[in-house]
Amino acid sequence: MAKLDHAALGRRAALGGLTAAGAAAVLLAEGWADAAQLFTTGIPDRDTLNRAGFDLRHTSCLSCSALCGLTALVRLNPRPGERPFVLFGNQDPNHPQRGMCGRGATAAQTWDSPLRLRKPLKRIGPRGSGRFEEISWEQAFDEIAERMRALIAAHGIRALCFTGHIVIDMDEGQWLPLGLGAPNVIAHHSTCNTPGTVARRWVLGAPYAGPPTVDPDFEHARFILFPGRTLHAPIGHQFLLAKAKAKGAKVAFLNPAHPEAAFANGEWIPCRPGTDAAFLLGVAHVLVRDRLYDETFLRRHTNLPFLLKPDGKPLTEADLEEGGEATTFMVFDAKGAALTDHKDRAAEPALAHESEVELKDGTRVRVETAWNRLLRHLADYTPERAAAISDTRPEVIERIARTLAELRGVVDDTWYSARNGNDADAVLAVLLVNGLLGNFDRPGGLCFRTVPGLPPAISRAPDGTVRTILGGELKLPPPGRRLDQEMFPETNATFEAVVKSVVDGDAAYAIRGLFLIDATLFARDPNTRRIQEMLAKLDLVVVTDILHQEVCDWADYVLPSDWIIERSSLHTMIWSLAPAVARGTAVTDPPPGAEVRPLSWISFQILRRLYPDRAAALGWQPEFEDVNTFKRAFLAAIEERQIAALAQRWRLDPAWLREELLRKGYHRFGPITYGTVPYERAPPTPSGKVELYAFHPVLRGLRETGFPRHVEPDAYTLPSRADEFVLVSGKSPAGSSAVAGLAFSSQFLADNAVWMNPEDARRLGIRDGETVELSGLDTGWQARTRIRVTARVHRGVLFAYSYVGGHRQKLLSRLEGFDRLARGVNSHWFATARIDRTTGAAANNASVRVRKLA
Amino acid sequence: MRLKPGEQPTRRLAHLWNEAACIGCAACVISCTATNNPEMLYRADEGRGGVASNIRRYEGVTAQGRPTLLLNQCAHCDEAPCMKTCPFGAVYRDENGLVRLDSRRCAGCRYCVTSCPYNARWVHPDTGLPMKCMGRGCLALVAAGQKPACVQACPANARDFGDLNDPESSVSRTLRTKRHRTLLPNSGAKPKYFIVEEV
Amino acid sequence: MSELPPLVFQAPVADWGWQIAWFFWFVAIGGGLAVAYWQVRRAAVAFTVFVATALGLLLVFFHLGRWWNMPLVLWELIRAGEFNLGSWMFLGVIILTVHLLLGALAAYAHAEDVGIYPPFGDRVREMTEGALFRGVFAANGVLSVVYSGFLLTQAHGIPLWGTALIPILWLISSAVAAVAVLELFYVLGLVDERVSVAGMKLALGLDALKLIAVLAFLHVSLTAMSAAARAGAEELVSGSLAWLTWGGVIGLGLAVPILLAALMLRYGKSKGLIAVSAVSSLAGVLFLRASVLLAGAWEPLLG
Repeated sequence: MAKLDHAALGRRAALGGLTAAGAAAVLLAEGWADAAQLFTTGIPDRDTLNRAGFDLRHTSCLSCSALCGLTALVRLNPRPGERPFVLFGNQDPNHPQRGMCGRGATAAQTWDSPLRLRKPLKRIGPRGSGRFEEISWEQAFDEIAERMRALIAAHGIRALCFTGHIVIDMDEGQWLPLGLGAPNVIAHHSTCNTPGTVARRWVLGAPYAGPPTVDPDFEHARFILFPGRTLHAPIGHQFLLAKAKAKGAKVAFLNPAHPEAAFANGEWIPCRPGTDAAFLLGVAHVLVRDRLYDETFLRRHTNLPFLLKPDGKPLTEADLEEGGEATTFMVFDAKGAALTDHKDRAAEPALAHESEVELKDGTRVRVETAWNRLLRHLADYTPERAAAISDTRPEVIERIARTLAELRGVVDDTWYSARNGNDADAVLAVLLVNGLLGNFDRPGGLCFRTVPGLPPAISRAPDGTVRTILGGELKLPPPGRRLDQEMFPETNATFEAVVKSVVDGDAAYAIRGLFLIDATLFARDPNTRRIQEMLAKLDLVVVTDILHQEVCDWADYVLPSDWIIERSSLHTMIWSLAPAVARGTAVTDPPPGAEVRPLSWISFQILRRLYPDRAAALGWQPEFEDVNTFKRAFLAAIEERQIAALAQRWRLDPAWLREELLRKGYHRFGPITYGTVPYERAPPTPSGKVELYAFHPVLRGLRETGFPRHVEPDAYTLPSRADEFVLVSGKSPAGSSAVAGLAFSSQFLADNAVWMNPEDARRLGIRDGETVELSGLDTGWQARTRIRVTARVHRGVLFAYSYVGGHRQKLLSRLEGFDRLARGVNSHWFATARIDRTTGAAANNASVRVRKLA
Repeated sequence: MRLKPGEQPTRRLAHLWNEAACIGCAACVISCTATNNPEMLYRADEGRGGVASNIRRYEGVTAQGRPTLLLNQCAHCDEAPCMKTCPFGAVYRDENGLVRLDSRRCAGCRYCVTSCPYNARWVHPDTGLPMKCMGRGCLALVAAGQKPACVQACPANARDFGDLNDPESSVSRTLRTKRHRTLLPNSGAKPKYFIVEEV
Repeated sequence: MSELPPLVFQAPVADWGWQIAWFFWFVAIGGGLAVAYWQVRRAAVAFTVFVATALGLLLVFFHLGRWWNMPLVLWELIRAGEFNLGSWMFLGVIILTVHLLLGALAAYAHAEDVGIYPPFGDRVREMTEGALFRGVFAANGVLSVVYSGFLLTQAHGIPLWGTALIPILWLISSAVAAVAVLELFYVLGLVDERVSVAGMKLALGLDALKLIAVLAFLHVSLTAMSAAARAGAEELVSGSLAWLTWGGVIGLGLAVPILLAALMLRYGKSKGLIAVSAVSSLAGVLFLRASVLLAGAWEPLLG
């Protein structure tokens, strides 16, 4: 295996982020050549650049939600018509999330896109009509506040729901809901990461539930299997992976559709949708059958030695003796040849054990270790059976298992995992295989993120008190439980609960008003008809966004917010295993004519109209009416305080840290730490171990077994005829995101046709490029689309990129050159919105019938 | 600078694309437009029905049934057919070995378009000029000692650019040590766009 | 996603389509009739050569994407003193310009046939009747047609065109076109019957030759090493351009004239049928050029 050209990398590295800026220097063919000349003799310092009329500014990419590092070269005094900036990936090779993919590359198009929201809009036609008039910010705030006041008076604050994508999880999305004391802040998670998040929480504990909290150590990996994941985001991981590949690392993608990343020397294992668990259990079967597992790890750090009762629940001290602890679990001490509690440090828990024990009520039951139970469980998942279920080949399963063991590989634990309704089992299986390999928190293994400890600008304590980092304090009562968590207690966010409450009346109370913050509802949530019905029924719909998304057409008011490249930002580098923060400088002003505002300012303007005292308590001052004063005096002070807090935590000089952040756009406070969880720090699970047998759902009665198993996808009707298919959606690195999906280039670089396997096409007599009609088996939604016949999709499966097809905002018909955005399908037209009651996860895949048009 | 007949370029600058590293994200394709033809950010190349970029993206399937990807662009061929066929000598080679276009001599006959075995050109809708790598933006970059935009945009380190005449250049070292090929090697054009086949 | 299908046809990109086909058609007529002028020194022939060549040049000039830049182009060429004599297009510009001048001289010489008596008319007529002028005129006519064929063969990006059969096909069909025009002239009373009778037999022979050449071109292309050539030929034989091949080139351009010629040779001439046959032949010559142009595609870069 030839090695990556480290020398070449090194040279580029030496130039750091400035190299990118050098490229950036020439955005306008001739207009930037003068800037390029500045780099002829080396890297100019900032003063030189400034004197020549340029500046270098680092920022983060929000074209998807991964926040990779970007660098811009900025023209300080652009002439009319000149583009004021160009963006490239931050080229610093030490940047934990460097780089820019095709989505980030669309930033230059997004900034002044014809679809950019530029002024507040008020609906003047029926919802969905897309008919608006431009109004002033004052009018917008006054009218929205008035309608919110009436809504809150009539139905209470709980009738107002805030939803969003990434921004709702960031500081700027928090000011209004927290200031209002609103309980219902329900993000996008159920259609994205909920299955994985819930599964990780069960196995590893709450701190390690979120997708970025646990990740393969890409840079040092030797072999990575990606079930379902494409690694198209964060693109920064691709750079780390490139380093690993240069040292011989291999990757394989288990996916019904061939991901672009597999072009890069990756193995693609095509499979039937919703069968990842079966495949992985087949891998686990081989690992166990051939004794390829890490026995020491299993005995010491997992709960596989724990004893289980016949009902699948763990044997606890409370089962054996009066007054015994229900949280003290029993193991068999091989040294003492007796049962002992799992906290007994002197014990040597036996992995394999089976015996009869007498419970405190005198009954005798047979107990066995979870390991013994696992052996029986896996007996059902021979490679042959697993391959039959997943429509793969047994020899592939055998080979993957051996490769994982021989190379001490790792199975990626997924990001976007809400696909088929049975996805939590897939992630449980991912964690099981990683557990068997014993490759946790080791170089090249599945590692735990160390957070830098960036304090939030605003937060809410359990007692309801809202505090700001600048010392603001607002006493409010506890907001109460979220509507979705009342329905689905395990979920991290299930927006369908809101839909149910509005459309079906099937909830404790109904949501009446919806605030959409950066939420592309039609591209995000399944079952478009239900979403439309909900939007039509609500009393108030307000959208804040940067682009005219389809959902804007359904809003009463649309408020244009600024974009990340137009403001400074400070955030945790969420996908870095090492503790790191990224600091972005405003690269540019908003485009000419765009009266866009920071979300926090918008929030305060509404809050101060509804509750002036609360706004004041949170820091609002009259002079903040001027948005620039607000940015300079308030937002800048928050950043200053956050940097100071970071400096204090990491014992750094705040001024130095600020300068470092300005210079590099990020700071890493330390290296990736290995060997901590579960070795030195016990996972906060019920057992304090890596629970490869998940106790929590078994104890709660949510599942009969704590092991993953294969169940057929239940989020949609399974295809049963030759012309019926599972419609799978996925992300294109060239355009699949709420922002990039509306970019001009995405019309061409992210295919909006529906993919069909050549075998299926032959069978149905469909040719490449032909238009067919799709009908949802469950939703009945009908749509016409072009078919692309390609070997990149598994037989029996159709594939469509998410975000890039089927846009229906009326504005598109009035914009020259953007008509292709309306072509293709949005897979959510066909998806059912059935929710996995165990996890609260939705599913984005669906089933459809294909009709060849005459 | 236009080389006179018989003159040899002092450098032989060449692009290199590593197909085994490319993740097909199209950042290079879009960055090329943003750098060289920003006026085309919201306009398609109607001729091809695609993004107005000097880099073209193709997909196919290998004989073994494996999906495969190709990014293609002007190869700055040593025996460039477009230079031979251009009736007015608008296409020329410069001192860096790059095949360039002198717009003053171009009448827009598009003979260079049909002469290129690699279909590397597109026609600008406003100027009628046959466009290709390298655009003016990247030429300015190279003149400043920088890598072209596509190389710097790549998040997977799949691209490189440098002087084949310099044995110590990164492209020369890569070509010495890694398996590689050119497209249509029998075209007689002696292309300098190299596809590296291993990471 | 593929931005493009693996096979890319040149017409949408380079725009060498119908306009260029018309250009080639006029060159075929102008070239073929210049040869015919050796024997048929009639005003109609001379005028047609001049007009056809002029129209062809006008068409190709305004096909240029930057025709407005030609003055600068010429200035730059003269200033630098650099002329690309290796380019068939550059040579073509010279050949066609010369042909236009020769055609103009011939037309000038025949001006008095249409009642115009320009200065030096007699001397020009004397010169054009000489073997030297007629020889040069005919040779340049052949060169014009050959140039329009080699123009395609040198377009290295389009393998379908990379065959010497194209210049041959162009020459044969140019002769067909010239004969067809002469037949039309007969119908219109511009040439006498003797020419027409010879023309019909000649046309039949040329049609047969053309049919062989067309079939040879298709066969060679269908069995070529190049996938693009094969695919282009398949388009012509059974794809989206089949209507042009079978309906235009073979049907209208060959079957109809051959059938009509056979009928007339057996049952006697009819001016109406001769006109139909001639127009049909001329249409076939145009369709042949259009079909070859439109079927041109680049070699797929992915196998």
